[in-house]
Amino acid sequence: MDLQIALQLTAFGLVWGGLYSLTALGLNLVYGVMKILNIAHGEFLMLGAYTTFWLLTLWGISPLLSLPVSILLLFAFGAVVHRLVVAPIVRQSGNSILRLEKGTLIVFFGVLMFVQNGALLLWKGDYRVVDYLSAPLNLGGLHMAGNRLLVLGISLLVTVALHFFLNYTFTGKAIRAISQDREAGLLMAIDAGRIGLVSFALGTAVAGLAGSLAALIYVITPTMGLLFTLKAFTVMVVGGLGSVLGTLAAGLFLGVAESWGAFLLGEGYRDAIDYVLLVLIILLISYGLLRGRERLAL
Amino acid sequence: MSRRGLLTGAGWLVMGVLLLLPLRGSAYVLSFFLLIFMYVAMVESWNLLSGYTGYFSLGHGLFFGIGAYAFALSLIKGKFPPGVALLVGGLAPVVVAFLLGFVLMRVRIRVAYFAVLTLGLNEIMKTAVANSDALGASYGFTIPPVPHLALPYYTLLFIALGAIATTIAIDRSRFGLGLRAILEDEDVAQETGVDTTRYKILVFMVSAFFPGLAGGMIAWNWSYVDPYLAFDLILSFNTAIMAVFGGVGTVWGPVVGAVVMSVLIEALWINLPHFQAVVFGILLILIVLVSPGGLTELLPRLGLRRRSWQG
Repeated sequence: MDLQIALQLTAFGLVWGGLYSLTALGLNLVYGVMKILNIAHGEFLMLGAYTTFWLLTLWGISPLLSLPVSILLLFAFGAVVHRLVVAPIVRQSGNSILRLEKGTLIVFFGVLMFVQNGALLLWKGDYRVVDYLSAPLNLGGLHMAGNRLLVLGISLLVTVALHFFLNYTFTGKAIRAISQDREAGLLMAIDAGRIGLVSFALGTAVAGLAGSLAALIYVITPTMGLLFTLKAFTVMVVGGLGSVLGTLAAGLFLGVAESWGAFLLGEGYRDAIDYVLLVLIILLISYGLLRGRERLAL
Repeated sequence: MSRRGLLTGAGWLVMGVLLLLPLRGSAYVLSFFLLIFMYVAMVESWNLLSGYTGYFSLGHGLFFGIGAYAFALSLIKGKFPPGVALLVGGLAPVVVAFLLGFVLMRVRIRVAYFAVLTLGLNEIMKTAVANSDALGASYGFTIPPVPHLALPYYTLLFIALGAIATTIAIDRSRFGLGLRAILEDEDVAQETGVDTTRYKILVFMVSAFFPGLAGGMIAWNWSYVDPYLAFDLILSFNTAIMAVFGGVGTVWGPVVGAVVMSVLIEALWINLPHFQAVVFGILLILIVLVSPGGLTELLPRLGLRRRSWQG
């Protein structure tokens, strides 16, 4: 095989991988603190993608400038969702983890239906694209569009920023404390309710950013979210074992594996590769062959 | 007359009307009713697995799709008579459920993980079928049309009744008690002598049978089958939503959910296709917040039996 093709495949895979890690980190923020899976995570990402699309299409605002808008909008939206539906469920469940898991699964599923179909209603199912920095650059034999470089760069930058935020700021440390041991965290006078709200909104904000980035290199549709949720879930479970940096490694790995897999097996199998990985990983965890996220913090 | 007697009387009346409907009903009415029957069969089967044991499936349409394909293949390639082909459609998913259950049901899988896993299995099967030339790839198969609309109508009516009857039988049996014990606390159930693995595999198999039958019949009624239609995630999603909405872990909750939401789909779909799903989303959130036991818990005066679903 041609070295050129190999490099090209890997580079493309890394771009997607960066995006997957970012999405997974957002999911992780929600999962870590509350131990619940936000199955509507990808819908927040989709909203981020549309934010970038509409800002560019309607007012010609550069995607680079729409990134912070997306972050703020989705942070606010996440906070509202937390207040309206997540917090009541947490209250209602008392100490029963099982009740919490079922309640939130169904509620987030409701959020998914609501947001996705609301978007379909408002913006139709048309495929939309954002044309920004799409001219290919030649990097010493490697061809890559500027937007892909941008996506990879920002993904890495934000991942590192999150790493520092979680390890060196008070709020970040509080999030990790609650993730590791809720009881002990409460005893240290950490306001778990507030931390829950902050980490949830932060998680959706990160999803919004990932969506704005995805808009640059992927087709935008109201139904794009679920696949991202599932990919992020895979990455979170594999990479969550260690740290933010572990998630980054897992995301990059998935991106590259997908890119090579699709090349070797055919494009029709691209998503199936993810699903097979997903199923295998859940089985490995359930059989106790791979330690789940439960005991470890971000 | 007692309340119980009234309910039984009403039940027989409904049955009578349903049995006689094909004599009078228009094609539209019959098609609408057979869709309700399909959903009742789907939701009640989902309920047997997810409602009674708590293993929340988001991919129960997998068995519907397998049934549809098993029917189409045995009719077209196997040259079986349609009745036998329908039965093959029902049994093929049971075999698949046995094989899957052998792997999935030996361990405890967390609620959200199981949901994602079942969704993944449905998508894997869809992709596998769409990429397999032997299974018609993404074009699928054309099936000779049904002779008369009354055929799918009555068949699906009896499939739905079969699903309800099976649920009643299980609900009253020792088996059902064991399943509920798994829902409450799987470890304790295991400790107190419930063979949880065997119970879970068994209920998984039972819950695959009726969706398979329904899949075959619906495919015949469509007169074609393709992977995107047969393994459409919407079916899996609607199934879970209807069950939760009606009230899971009971005999009648899922039936109520399936009927009420089917009517809602029909009423809303005519005006605005995606609006229906938006409403579903809101209802789902509301029902969990207001009444986690579903619609049948909200209306206790109906005298419907309800058991606590959430641990």
